[in-house]
Amino acid sequence: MIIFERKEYFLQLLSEHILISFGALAITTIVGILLGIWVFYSSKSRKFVLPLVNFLYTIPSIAMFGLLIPLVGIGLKNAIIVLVLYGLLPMVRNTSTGLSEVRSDIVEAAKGMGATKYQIFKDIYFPLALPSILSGLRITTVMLVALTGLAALIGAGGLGQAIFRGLNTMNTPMIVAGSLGVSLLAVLSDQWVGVFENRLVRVVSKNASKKQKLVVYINMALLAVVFIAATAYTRPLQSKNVNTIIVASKPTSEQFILGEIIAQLIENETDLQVVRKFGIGGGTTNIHPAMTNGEVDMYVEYTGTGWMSVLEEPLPTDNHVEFSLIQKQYQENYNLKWLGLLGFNNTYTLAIPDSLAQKFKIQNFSDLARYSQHFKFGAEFDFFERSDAYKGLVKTYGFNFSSIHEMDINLRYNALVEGKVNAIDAFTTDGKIVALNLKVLVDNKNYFPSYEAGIIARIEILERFPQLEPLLMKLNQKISTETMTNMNYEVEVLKKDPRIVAKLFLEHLKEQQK
Amino acid sequence: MSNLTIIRFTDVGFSYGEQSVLNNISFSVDKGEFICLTGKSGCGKSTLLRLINGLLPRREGEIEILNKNMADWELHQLRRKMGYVLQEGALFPHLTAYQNMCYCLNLIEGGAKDSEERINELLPLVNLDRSILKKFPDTLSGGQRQRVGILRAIAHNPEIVLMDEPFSALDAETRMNLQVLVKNIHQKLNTTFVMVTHDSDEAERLSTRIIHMDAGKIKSTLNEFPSE
Repeated sequence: MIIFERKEYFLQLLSEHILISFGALAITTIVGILLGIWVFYSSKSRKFVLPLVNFLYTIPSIAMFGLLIPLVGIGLKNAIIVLVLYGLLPMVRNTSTGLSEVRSDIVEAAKGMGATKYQIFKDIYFPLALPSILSGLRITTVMLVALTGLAALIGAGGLGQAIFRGLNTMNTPMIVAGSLGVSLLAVLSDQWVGVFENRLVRVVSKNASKKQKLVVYINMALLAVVFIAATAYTRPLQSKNVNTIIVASKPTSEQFILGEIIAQLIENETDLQVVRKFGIGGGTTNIHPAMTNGEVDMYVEYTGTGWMSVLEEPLPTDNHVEFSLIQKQYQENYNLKWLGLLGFNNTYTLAIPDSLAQKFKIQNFSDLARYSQHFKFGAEFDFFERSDAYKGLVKTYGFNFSSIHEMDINLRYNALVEGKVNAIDAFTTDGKIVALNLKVLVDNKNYFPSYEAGIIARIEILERFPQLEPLLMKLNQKISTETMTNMNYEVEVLKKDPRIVAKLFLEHLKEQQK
Repeated sequence: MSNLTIIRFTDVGFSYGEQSVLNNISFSVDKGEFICLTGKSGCGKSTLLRLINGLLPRREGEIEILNKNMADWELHQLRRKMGYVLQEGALFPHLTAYQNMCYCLNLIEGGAKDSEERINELLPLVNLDRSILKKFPDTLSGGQRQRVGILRAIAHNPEIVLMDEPFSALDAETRMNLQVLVKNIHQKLNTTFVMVTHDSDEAERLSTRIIHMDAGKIKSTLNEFPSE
């Protein structure tokens, strides 16, 4: 079982999940109840609070995480704000509905006997609205625990990270373990809130039996213990610690491995602590802003992406991005430093089964163009959409495939195995290339831009910890395309833990340097 | 007016928006009286009752309660000197019978101190025994609920007890029993009662004076019924 093999990793994710979802739940409960009370007592507030929380609820959650990045950045804060905004609707609604459903003759009786407004709220309205508030809390709890699964997209961690990691590395047991973890936590949390139904109202009304009181107090203590343990385990404020380096990665197996290599190298060779913000959804789009505002200290980027997406520069005619140029521009514009190149180029390429390559004696793109009428070509949707991909490729090499097939990026290899296509686009370091015995063809006219990998770090952090730069420079030119492809293969196909793969790589590197 | 007057209305009027409900109401109640307000539904008798404890704000005229102008009372303080009984008792469903009984006592400063003793003392008066004390209202019969409601209204020794159609939802037998019980309480405690009822037989049986209302005005006042 993957959970037991990687129990530390899952314990970390579980702790993060509990911290995020229950932290958000605590805030949602307090804010939601207060807003619900306000809505109940003030007809003016009803006109805008309810439409507002309704509106917030309708924004797709993934979009909400993204929308908040420019305001609060990535990570825990962003996740908690989004979850709180989402959870408000059931809490506000159930609180105000619960209060308005309290029988008017009962309220009149209390008022007529001399209870003050506060006493009426405390002794009558609140206990009688409690069942409705608790059912709202149950809905909110399940919703927030499930929604926390998406927090991994913005680097906040949680069990969702296992799901995304599994999806991005084609690791089904990982997806199952992450999903089951979320579901189990949601079910347990639902049961936990359920314990308070019928019992809490008795405790609040001071007429609970000893057993009822005990159950309520034990369950409250249980939550407190679990929450404190999760907090202690994750140490959410650790990233604010002065001696901490935050390493980020995009959501691909390659990036998980490279992120681990950087993290472990720092941990092994310095006394600095590392916080891993791996698998950030949206990749460069979200990591680059986080780098410029200091939420992330370093990550691995590719020259083509940095040149075109971040610097928004046009490609030179030979499609090769000059490293010294990109380094200079990053430093001047963003105060970020490219520390050098790792040694591999993860660019687009075309791949066909080795058997066909031998049959037709195909080595490069031009060879393939000559026999292209014998090939069925498959690629992901954006490959056909981007002007610098399929369209230009056909123009440059004159491909004339017998048919073309658009599909999800992760399904290309499956389609190849099933024989639906026999030529696909690929990334040069894809682990599946090794697994499926594919022939990677040479881009003999240099059509695709180069995507050479390199570590980018904040200059501020390099200055504060001068030991970092020489240390990380040790990785320069040490990861060849072949090495990277093999490491990807070990993670994607052999389902090894990226941490183990990274550890072995570093051990191997150390031996070489002796 | 005698020194014993504890409720005095002078030219009191009340309206809901444009709709006039009470016009030129003047009457007074002396300590120890049992007043029944009768009349058809919509005649304004319940509105009048709610003006006495300030649940509805006076619009015109003067109201004096316990020798103090209504405007000078802190309303919740005034209400704590009264008991209030509604249909079926309007018991708090989340509180036990005993907690319901103590509700008014607990609102009064120092009232909670001897509450157990006080409740035990009053239980025989409303014909209830201790076995129901821990029960919740939804497990009690209609008659039991109303007895708890009456005990709740008298436990703190109020100057005035207001009752709004307290027996209207009960069956004839229970109703009769409770009428006897309330009459008994009135005689024993010598508290002033003002009760709204649409049943003129009930009014005659219980009251020392009937104020009959019609279309927002006092139509007639009947005094001194021979006690049964």
